Parts: sequence; structure tokens; C-alpha cells
Amino acid sequence: MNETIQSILGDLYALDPQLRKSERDLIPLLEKLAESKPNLNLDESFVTNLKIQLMVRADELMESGKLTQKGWLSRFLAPLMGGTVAFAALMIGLMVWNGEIGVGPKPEATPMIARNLMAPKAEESVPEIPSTPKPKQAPVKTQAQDNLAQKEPVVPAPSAVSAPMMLQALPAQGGAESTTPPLAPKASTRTTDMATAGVSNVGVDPVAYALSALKRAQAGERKITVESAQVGFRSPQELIGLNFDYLPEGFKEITNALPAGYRAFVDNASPTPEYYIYFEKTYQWYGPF
Amino acid sequence: MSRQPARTQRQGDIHPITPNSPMEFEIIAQCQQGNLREFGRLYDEYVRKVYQFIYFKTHHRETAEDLTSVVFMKAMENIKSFDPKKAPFKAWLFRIARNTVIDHYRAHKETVDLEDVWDLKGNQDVARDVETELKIQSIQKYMKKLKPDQREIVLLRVWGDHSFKEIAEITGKSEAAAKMMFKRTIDTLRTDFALLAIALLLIR
Repeated sequence: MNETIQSILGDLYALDPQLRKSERDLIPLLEKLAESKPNLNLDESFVTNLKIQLMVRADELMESGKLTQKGWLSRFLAPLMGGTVAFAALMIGLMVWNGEIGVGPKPEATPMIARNLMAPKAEESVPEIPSTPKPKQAPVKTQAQDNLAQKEPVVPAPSAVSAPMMLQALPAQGGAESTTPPLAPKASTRTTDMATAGVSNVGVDPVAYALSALKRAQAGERKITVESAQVGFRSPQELIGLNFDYLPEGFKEITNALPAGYRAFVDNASPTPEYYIYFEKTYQWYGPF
Repeated sequence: MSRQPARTQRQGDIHPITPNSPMEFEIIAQCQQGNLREFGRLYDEYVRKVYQFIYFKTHHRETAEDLTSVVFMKAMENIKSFDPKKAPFKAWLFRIARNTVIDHYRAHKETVDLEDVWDLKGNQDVARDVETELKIQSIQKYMKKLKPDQREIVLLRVWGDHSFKEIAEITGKSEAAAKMMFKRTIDTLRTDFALLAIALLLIR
């Protein structure tokens, strides 16, 4: 007699002690019922795929705003914000019309505008690998600058910048000769990322690197959704559906690297190691770093 | 958490959601405010239980998978209508599951008093897993005689190994009512089985 049957009998006797007299009938009946239980082989890939479908649907619903409960303040501010954007667009249009902002004619004025617009906030600064020397009086290079359409031609001396900065600056060394300063920000591309900039991050302290990657993830950098384009070695779908008990070959967790609630992984199957950060509370992946 | 399931516990791991816990209420509140990505945590907690519940009523893996998908989609899309003051989330979710199964069979068989695969007659064409069909053969006759809610309680307790507290949450009954219904159902089954045993003895 197994534990379940014993437990059920206990429940029944607690309800009606007289049933003890019928134990000889009850045990075979309960055993017969228990034996008839179908085998439940739940397909884990089904569980994963359904979750992906749900998250896609969740994103759709969130985007469409069907389920968003906006507060009265945001409802009130939304039209005003729309007006602000329209006003800003109108002003920029007027300035372009008057020649105050030009694509090419006044190159000496635009760098200041561009730099001011892209001035880093304290929390936006690129996290550094602690083992690398800190820049001394070098201009801080930020993620925002990384997003510029063209890299600035001036590259800080390698000894004065952190490794991530060096890696970000490297593509520009190929020599964009144009001195035209960037005007339009664009989404950062994989080619400017340190993991594919042609410089291996092999040899860096994985724990320190994971910490720096965490800071970037916390800033919202390289958030992976099911609709993200594949930029690293792994597809977003593969990462989102990853089973921690069966990590793919080369994909390893860097244990005890991050504070509670975060997990760091390094993918050594890719040509250069790619680092990923996983937020346990939100099930959100970030990377590759 | 079991989206990436059954992994080794380590320091800093998020603990699984306990039904009716403050954490579950917080997650539901976030979903209701529009952060539907949080729904994934509810899914992780309940997907296996819902699948099991549906399988006991369908005896067919693909049907159970399809209906499980429908249940969670419905639950996520309608999470705003869930009122924690009226019922626990688990009860609400399983009510969706129960209604989804009923809709499935009624839509397919155009029979209004049909609730699950147990209510189908033997000659009705319906997909079932052969292995399950064989396993339930010896009890099918008796189970079919029961009312759907009686059957549900017996299967949740004996097959699902749910406690009466959990069964009460799933069925929306009180714990005492669930226990009493279980006891009465077992009494009915015991009588039927005893009659069968006597009949077999007489034949021999």
C-alpha cells in the first residue's frame, strides 16, 4: 500500500471512523483506482514553446495597450507630450529652413550640439573591466556615443581607456576619413560590440566581466525578446527557451558572479566568448556582451 | 519557477510561487497593470497542474496540450477580470480549464450534457491515447456512473495526489464540502465494486 492510499484512508477515517470496518473493501478499491492512473509524460518542449507563445502574445498586448491601466496623470500628460514632440519637430524644421542646422555647411557648430545631446549621464557610462586601467582625463565614451552613425575619428590612447572603450573605438580605426560629425543616432550594431570587434575577451576575469555586463543589462542594453534579431551565436528563441538543467555545449554559468536574482553565462561555443545576463525575477535575458 | 524547469537550487534563486501568497498577489497585480511578462511566472507555477487536470478529462495528449494552450492564453488575456477577493487565482484558472474542456467536447459532439471524455459513450469517435485507454479500462464503467464533479474530486485526490485544501481551491468548494463529496463518492464506488466481487464469486 503506497503513501497516497494510506493518506486517503487517513482522510476517510477522519471523516467517518466507521469506515475502518470496511477497510478490506476500501484498500482494493483505492489500489484499483491508483493503478489506473494514466502515465503523464508532459513534453517539456511543449511547456517551453507555449511559454514563448505566451510571451509573444504578452508583448503584443502590451504594445497594443489593451491591458495597460494608465493613471490619470499619464492620460493627462500624453496629449501634452505629443504636442511637445510636434513643437520640437516644428522648431527643428524651422532651424533647418533658416540654415541654422545644416547637414554639411557648418561642420564646426555641430560637434558641440552632438556632444551636448549625447552627453553621458552618470549611470550611462560604460562599465569597465576592473582589471583594466582607468582613463585619466580621457573623455568618457558612452553607450550613447556608441549609437552614433559614425565613429569619431579621435581614439583615446589605449593606455588611457578601459577595454570596452578600446573595443568600441576599434572599428573607427579603420579610418573614416570624413570629419563630418555625426548627427543621427542609430541603434547600436553588433559590429561595434566588444565580443565581435575582432578583439577576443578571452583572458578577462569572467566574474568582473559579468559584473560589467550586468551594469549594461541593468541600463537596458541588449535586451533579448523573442522578436529580437539574432546578433550573437545563439538565437533569441534558443535563449528564452533554455533549460538550465541542460545547457548547450559551451554555454556555461559563471557561478557566484552576480548578486542574488541575476545569473551570468558565458557562451564559449561562439568564435569569441559571449556573455549573457539573466534576470530571474523578470525572466529576461540580456546579451551578448 | 519552472519555465526553465527543475534546476538546481542555489543561493539567490527565486522561490516558486505559493498559491495565495503575497508574491502571487503581487505578480497578478503587475499583470493587471499591464506588465504581462510577469504572467510567465504564474504559467511556470501552474502549467503542469493544469495540463494534468485536462489530461484526466481528455485522455489524449495532443488534445490536452491544445486545451492547455487555450487556457493560458485565455487567462492571460482576461487577467484584468480576475478579482482576488472573489476566489483564489488557482480556482479561477482551473475554472477556465474546466470550461475549456466542456466547450471542447460540446463543440465537437453537439451534446449539451457532455463535460469530458468520461461522458462519451464507447462508440463515439474521439481521440484517446491507447495506453491510457487500456489502463482505465477496469474502472471506466464505474467512473462513468459518477457525476462530473464527483469524478473530478476522486481523480484529483487519487490520481493527482492533491490535498483536500488544493482540491477545494481547484473546484471552488470548501474543504469540508470536498472531503464529504469524496467520502460519498468512495462509498458509491465501494458498493459497486462489492457488487461486482459478489457477482464474480457467484459465477465461479
